[in-house]
This record gives sequence, structure tokens and C-alpha cells, in this order.
Amino acid sequence: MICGIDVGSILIKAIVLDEKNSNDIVLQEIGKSIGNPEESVTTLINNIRKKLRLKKRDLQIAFTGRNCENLTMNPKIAELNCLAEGIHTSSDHNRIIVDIGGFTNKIIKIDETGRIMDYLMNNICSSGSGVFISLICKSLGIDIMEIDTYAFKSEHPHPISSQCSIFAETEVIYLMNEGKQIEDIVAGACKSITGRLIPLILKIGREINQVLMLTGGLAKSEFIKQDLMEQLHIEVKNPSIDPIFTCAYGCARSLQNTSKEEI
Amino acid sequence: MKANVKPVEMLYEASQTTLGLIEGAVPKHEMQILKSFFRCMESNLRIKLEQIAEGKPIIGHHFAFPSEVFSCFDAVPICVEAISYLFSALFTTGSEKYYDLANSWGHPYHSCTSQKGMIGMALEHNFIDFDVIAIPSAPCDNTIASYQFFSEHLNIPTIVADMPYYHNSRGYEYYSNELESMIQELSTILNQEPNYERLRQSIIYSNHAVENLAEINNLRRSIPCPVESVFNPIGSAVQNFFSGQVEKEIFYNEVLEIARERVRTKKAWRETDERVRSFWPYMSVFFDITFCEWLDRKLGMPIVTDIFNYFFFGPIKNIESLDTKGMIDGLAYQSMEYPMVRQSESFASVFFEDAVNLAHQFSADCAIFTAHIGCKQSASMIQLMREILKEEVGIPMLTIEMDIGDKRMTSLETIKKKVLEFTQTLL
Amino acid sequence: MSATNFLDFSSLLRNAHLTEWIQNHKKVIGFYCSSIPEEIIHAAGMLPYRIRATNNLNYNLADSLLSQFNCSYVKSTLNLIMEDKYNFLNGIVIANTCDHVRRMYDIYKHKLNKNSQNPIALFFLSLPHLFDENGWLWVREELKLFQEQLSRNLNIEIDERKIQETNHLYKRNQELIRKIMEFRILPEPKLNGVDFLKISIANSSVRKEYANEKLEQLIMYYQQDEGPKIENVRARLMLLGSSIDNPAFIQILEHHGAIVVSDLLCTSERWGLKDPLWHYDNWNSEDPYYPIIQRIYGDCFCPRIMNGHSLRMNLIKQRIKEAKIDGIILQRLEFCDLHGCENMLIQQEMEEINGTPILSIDREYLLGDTGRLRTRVEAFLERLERS
Repeated sequence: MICGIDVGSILIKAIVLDEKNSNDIVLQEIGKSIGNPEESVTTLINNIRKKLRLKKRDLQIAFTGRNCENLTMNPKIAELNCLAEGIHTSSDHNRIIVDIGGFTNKIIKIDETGRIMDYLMNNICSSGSGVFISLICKSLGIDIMEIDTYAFKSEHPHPISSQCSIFAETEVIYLMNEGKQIEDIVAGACKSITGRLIPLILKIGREINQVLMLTGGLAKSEFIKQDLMEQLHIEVKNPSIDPIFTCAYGCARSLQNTSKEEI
Repeated sequence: MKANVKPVEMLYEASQTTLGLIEGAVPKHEMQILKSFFRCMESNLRIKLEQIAEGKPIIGHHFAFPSEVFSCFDAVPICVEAISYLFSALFTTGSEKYYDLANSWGHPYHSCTSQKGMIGMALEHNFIDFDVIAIPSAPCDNTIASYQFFSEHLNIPTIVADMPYYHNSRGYEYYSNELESMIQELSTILNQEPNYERLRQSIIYSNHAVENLAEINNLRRSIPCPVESVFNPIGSAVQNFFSGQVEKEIFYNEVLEIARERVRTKKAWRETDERVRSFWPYMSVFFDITFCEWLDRKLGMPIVTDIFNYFFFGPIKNIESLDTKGMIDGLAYQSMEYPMVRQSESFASVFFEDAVNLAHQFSADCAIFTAHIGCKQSASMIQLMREILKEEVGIPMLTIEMDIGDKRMTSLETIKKKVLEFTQTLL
Repeated sequence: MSATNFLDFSSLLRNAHLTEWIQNHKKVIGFYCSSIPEEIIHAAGMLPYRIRATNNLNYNLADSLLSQFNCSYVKSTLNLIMEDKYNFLNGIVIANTCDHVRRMYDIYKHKLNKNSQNPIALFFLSLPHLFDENGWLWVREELKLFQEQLSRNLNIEIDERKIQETNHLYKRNQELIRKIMEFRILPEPKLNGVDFLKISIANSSVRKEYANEKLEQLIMYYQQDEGPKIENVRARLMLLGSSIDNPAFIQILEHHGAIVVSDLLCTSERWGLKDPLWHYDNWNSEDPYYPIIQRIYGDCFCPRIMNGHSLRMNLIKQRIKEAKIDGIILQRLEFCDLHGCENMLIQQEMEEINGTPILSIDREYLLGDTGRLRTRVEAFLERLERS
């Protein structure tokens, strides 16, 4: 079996493929990355082996992700290449990948062979990424999984003007104190995320017929997806696999390709 | 009373120690360019300190200024921006203490650290007793705004040569007149008559440096590139700190000899093969020069050319027979076409054209743009530069937002990570 | 239409006068900053329109060209341009007034015009960073060149007589603004800072014949005995720093009963300066360009003038006395280095030497966290009341 582990800034995502059986996904696991990633990854691997009753030699593993560089475990595969592979092998479209990560947003343009043509990431600021919405949800006392429920109820999304996550969190507290509706704040925060993504997407440039493939933790938000579609007049899709596991999936597929090449 | 020059003394000590360390610990044929730089630096600072001890006046100046002009006077020129950034390159915590002092006094966090370091030093009373400051009104808002601290708060006589936006004959003439007026004002403040023969000698040194740098750049076109990446940040320091002084000629001469030898013998001078030729359309990382060694040794990704170390002008012609006006005209032209001034102060077309030409000429595989937080004038042009290099040269460009003089904004680890990711993904 | 309807022009990019102007197939030239010779544009029979960021909601389009280190005000104007909200412009004039603004020329040249089916005419002025004779003469030449370019590009004749006529009109306009400024500083002001900014913004978006008519009506309105007056002013504030075109910002400052009675902003009071900031004595005042050079260069209050700091400080001190200022609000837009450094010097000098209390604010163009700002202003007012 082949396992790809994406050690992100906040979460560790692992996916196990059965290469003898059309690369079926046999297991998806999530753990927390904060603290000691080495220990968390080890625990996750042990859980996977236990669940699948696999011996060490029966599970080939590769690592990727923002937080994987400090791991002593190998091999490691570049995160952007994993995302590209993950989308290439799970979708037929001519694609631009939009990955909303914990701290980093990535826009990747790939060609029909899955090769990366260009990419862009948000720079030093985490504003508009997963942690941004987490902080806001925390301030509002709601679960991050509920953002769509609130955002779709909003009639007047309240823009979050601060370009910085930390200031945005404070801004939200003031908005609440001013009696603004939670749904308007959540919708404003989601629009703030799309507002960070749109310039990056425009910068990278889109070719005719290219669709956006939304991956990462926030990719499941229908509100964000719809807002991107409305503002960019472009088709936005999720991959056929769970979008949060795209990178881990691509990592496993890349490992498989490497193994084949080595053979 | 002896002039306060503590920052210069600290730099002198740091240069001595660093030189001793690298000459003692690094094998003879390694890091030759770095060694040459520190030899020149040590000598230049020693002489400056001796001259200051003799009571010669100190002229503070801006990096984008033809400091050859100051050789008209028996004075010691010291570049303000070079002091801030040499501190950040040579000391463990760089100029951070001074940046923080300036910020807490009200200097905006996003203003350029190249002047902020000196502002902080002044606030700590650990300053250089400048007798006068001489600067251009270019190439950016930070130059215009930050120097008003020195003139208005510290009351240091500050002479400004106003640089027009147009780099044409009308603009050059205007600026030449500004330089001429500046020399007259300096003469009054320093109570010295300008000695134009000394100016001539200074231009002769600079002419040799210009010729040598042109040849160095010709050699940098070779594959593999015969010059270490560290030439980028230290070359910038050389231009700013040694301008119009003999050390500039000596340094470029030594680098030229090293480069010629490497090209001639085709001898490998680093362990790693040249894999990717990188072009830096703007600056490099100044707060940690080990970064350049990492590029060379770990990635095999030398900086083959950059805007800072390429003169888009030749030597001032017929210098032996030129009259005073001719010499000042020549300096005015060079000053307006000076690296970074040429690309930052005026219309962006020239910035794009220069970048495209350099990328072509040096067979660059990629470009890396350091988006320095202080440089708002270049921040607006990054995306256009990215598109133009892609369209016209066919190379990708990585942008890294940072403060080139303060590692706390974007750490060296983050910068390396971004560069590594770039090589793994697109190259 | 009542006199105060003119104020509403500040809340729209396309006001009624502009709409009519365009319908009559007349040309509009946009410009950034107060240091642009709009008199020449006016003399050419066009409408000089100061570019602003009114009603911009986000930076989504502008961020695709600019970086996160760029000024959010300029970014907002670009966003509106990219949203096609400025499609009524036939040309644009830009000068080297700051690093953010001057690059708009390059963005137009290398991107917007290239991608447009109707590229607009671009004009640039190089303005000096020093007050001196060389600078004065340079500006004189720039005006002449600008006039020639404008004539050539838009095929319009501009003669000196027209410029002289325009100068009279502009002089009258400045006098009228100055008159309204006097209503601001009365013990019981006739208008607040919000309304004065609205007037100034409206004034920069219409032809001056029209503006003068409206300003005269406003003066009559304020002059009436039964006209408006603001009583029980909690504190009289002066507002300094980066460009402001959004009255909502001043509304926050005035929310707790304070009044902005003077501002010296480039979008506002600088238009009505009483005395020249700097003056070049050896010049013929009969020269038709004379009042234009004086306005755009000699009266340039902006920190971009490197030897003008003490002159600016003198004017601030003078206005503090005239307007009986209790406290100063120093604000700057994020990434505005010019006002950032200038504010640092003003703060040290005014607070430590002059003793005038100061509240220093860093802001982004889009107003979001108004609650926090209101709290800070409230605390500042309490401080002023205690002192």
C-alpha cells in the first residue's frame, strides 16, 4: 500500500491507496500538526498500520506539506508538485488549482500533463487563509464547519477591512459589540478570503476553458465557491476526492510514480 | 573635541575580525571575493578613521549619489545607507536595535531600513557627527522623507540636489546645475575652496572601476558564471561606500583577476555544478550574506546578474583634459543613470527594458525579485515585471516580500524555503 | 436645487454636472494630487476631475497589479479604474508626487492602455522636490510643455488669454473656499469638517464656473442669521496627514461632539491657503503661468518638498492660533512614507515643544474597524477636556 502524508501548518492529512486495486482510497486520516509534528506523524502512521493491520514493509510512505521539512522521516516531495499531481490524477479539466491552506494560499496553473506552468502564493501575511477564518470563528463562538450556514443567511455581508488576521479578529469583536449580525460578519469574512484569492488568480492569468479546482480546508465552503464564481465568472469545482486530502493524495501518487521510475 | 564616529569604529572592528576569521579559517582559494572585500573595507575604514582623528570634516551622503564630488574637499565621505546595512550584514542582531528605536520614536514600520538604522543610532546618541549631509531628491519617497529627520530634528546642514524625473538632456543639465550649486554650498559650509584636480583623480579611480565592472560583467555571462553570488550584496556596498575612492578600483581589479583566471582555466571553483542561472532584477538579501553561499553551494544557483551591479554607462571620457563643467556634467549623467536610480526614480519602461536585456544577455533561467518593504516605487511594478519577463524572455519570476535589512520580517529560512520551492516546482 | 445639494456631489463619481458635460461630448481629464495645473486643462475647454476612491468596496482587481506594500487609497482608485468606473476620462495627468501615485502612469502605459480598446491620453509632469529658483523655472517650463502636449494630443487650442481668464476664475474659486473656511473657525462654526470636505471634493469634480456659482449660494446660506451653527463644541480639532476623500472618516472623528475646524489636507483646505507657503520674488507676476506655479509649486504643503518642513510647521502653528485648535489628529495611510515621516516630526515638535496634544492614527482607505477608532477618539477628547 502507498501512503501520502501532508504535514500542513495546522493539520496532518494522510491517505492510503491500494495500488493493486486501481489506487482505491482505503483510508483517510487527520491529526493535528501543532506542537511536535514528528510525534504527531508517528502516531498517525501507527494508527494507520493498526487500522489496516499492515506491517512496516507493507506501507510505503512519502511526506509533503508546509510543515514537513523538520521531519526526520523521508522521502519528502515538494508540496506544490503533490497538489498538481493530486489534481491531475483526479480530474480531467484544464485547471488552475486554488488551495486554501492553514497559513498559505496557493494558486497553481498546470498543463494537460500535470506539469506546473506557474504558481503564486500569498506572502508573509496569513490573512485570507484558513487560520484567518478560524480566528474569526473563534471570536464569534461558532464552529468553522458552520460558516456556510451563517454566510448564506446574510443579506448585507459586512466587509472586513483589515488586511491583517490579527487586526481582523479585533475588528470582528468590535463589529459584534456594535450589534452587527453574525451572519453578516461571517459572510464578510468569507468575502475577505475570496478577496485575497482573486488578485492571485488574476495575477497568474487564466486561459480559455480553464476551471478553478478548489482544494484545502476551506474548499468545501459552498459560499466561498459561489462567491468566486460570481466574481470571476468562472467555473469552480472541487476535485473528485475530498479536497482537504488533495495534497496527500498527490503525494501518494507521486511516490507511486517515483517507485515505478526507480523500478 | 573628537567627533563621535562610534558606528564607523564598530564596523572597522567587525571588518578586522571577520577578515582575520575568513583569512585564517577558510582555505586560500575559497571565498576570494569576500576576502578581497574585507581587505578593502578594513583599509578604507582605517583610513577614514585616521582622517577623522586628524579633524577632517565628515560628509554624510546618500547611496545614490556621485560621492566623487566630495573629493573636491579635504573631507571624509560616509554613506548613510551603507552604515545601516553593513551593520545588518556584519552583526548578529544587525541594526535591529536601531530600527526598533526609530520605530518607537514614530518612524513608520514600513519605511526603509536603509535610513532607519542611522535614525535609530542618532536617537541612541550613538551617531556619526556629520558636519554636513549631501543627498539627491531621489530615488524614492523614503529618501525624501527620512532625511528630513536629519535636517529638521538633528539640525544637520543638509544639501539636496534635486533630481528631475526626466532622464534626457534637459534633465541631465538641470541636475548638473544642482551638483554645481551643491559644491558651492559645501564649499561655504566646510570653509574650503573646491579642488577640482582632486575631483579629476577621483573620477579616474571611478573610471577604472567602471571599466573593470564592465569586464567583470562580461565574464559573468560565461557558463558557468565565474563570480560568486556574494558579489551581489558586497558589490552594492562597494559602490556606495568606496565610491570615488581607490578601494573601489582595487576591489573590482581583484575580482576581475579572479574571474579571468576561472574562465581561463575553466577550473571548478565550487563543489556544486551550475544548475540554474538566476537573475535578480532588484536587490539581494543584505542582512545575511551567507545566503549567497547557500545559493552557490547548495542549489548551484548563482546570481549571474542584477540591477545593482551593472552600470548602464561608460567611464567619463577625456577625463585628463575635461574642464570642471565637463566633469560635473559627466557625474550628473552617471548619477542619474546609477544602478537602481535609473530604474527606480523615473518611468518604469527603462526598468523593464534593462531587466529584459540583462536576462537575455546573461542567459538567465529565472528571476528572483526581492520586494523590499521600503521600496514602494518598485512594489507597484512587480507584477508587470513578472509578466514582461515571462512574455519577452520566457523565464519565471519568484517574488519574495521582505525587508532586505531586517531578518525579522522574512527570515532567512523562509527565503530559502521559497527559493527551494521555486527550483523544485518550476525549474 | 438647494445650495447644500452641491455637497452630495462628493458621494458620487458621476455627478449631475459631469453627466451633462459628457452628454454634450465635452472632454474630461483626470488627475491625481493637488499639484496638477488644472487651470490649463480648464483653459483648454475641458473638465479637470480629481481622481478619487469614492465608493470603492475592495481591492480585488487592483491587488492583481499592485503589492501589499502599496497605499490603499491609490489602490482603491485603481480598483475603480479597473472596474471601469472612470470610463468617462479622456486623459489623465500624473506627476512625481509620491511613489504610489507616479507608478499609476506606468500602470496605465504598460497595462491599462495596452489592454484597452480606447486607450486614454497620458500626461506626466516632473515636479521639483525643493523650493528654489531652479525649481520655479523648471515648473514654468513644465507648464509650457504640458500645454503644448495637451494641445497636440487632444487637438485643442490653448492661448494665453484663455489661461488668464481661467486664472481669474480659479482665483475667485480659492477666495470662495477661503470664505467658507472662515465659517469653519467661528466660535460657533457654521459647518463641520464632514461638510467642508464634501464641499472641497465636489469643488474638484466640476468646472469652476459651475463651482463658483454653487459656492456663492453656499456662502449666502451660511451667512444667514438663521443659518446653521454648531453649538457646544466639545473640542476643536485640526486634521493633518495623508489624503482623505471619504467624509465618513471625519464623521468618526466628529462622532463624539468634536469638530474638525481646520485640516490642511491636499483634498481640502490647501486649496484655500491665505498666504503663499513659499514665494519666488524675482518673477513677473504678469506671467499667465505665475498663479499656477504659485499654487501647484509655491503653495505645495506636501512633505515631498524636502526643504519645506519649517514652512509647513509655521503654517500649522498659524492655523492652530487662527482656528483655536485644542488638539491635532495626525493620520496617515499605511505605506505612506512621506506623511509617515512628516507625522513623526510634527508629533515630536508639536507635542514636546508646542504642547499641543496629538492623536496619531494609522489607517487603511477602506473603513472597517470604526469602533476601535471611535474609542481612541473618545479617549483623546477626554484627555483634551482634562488638560
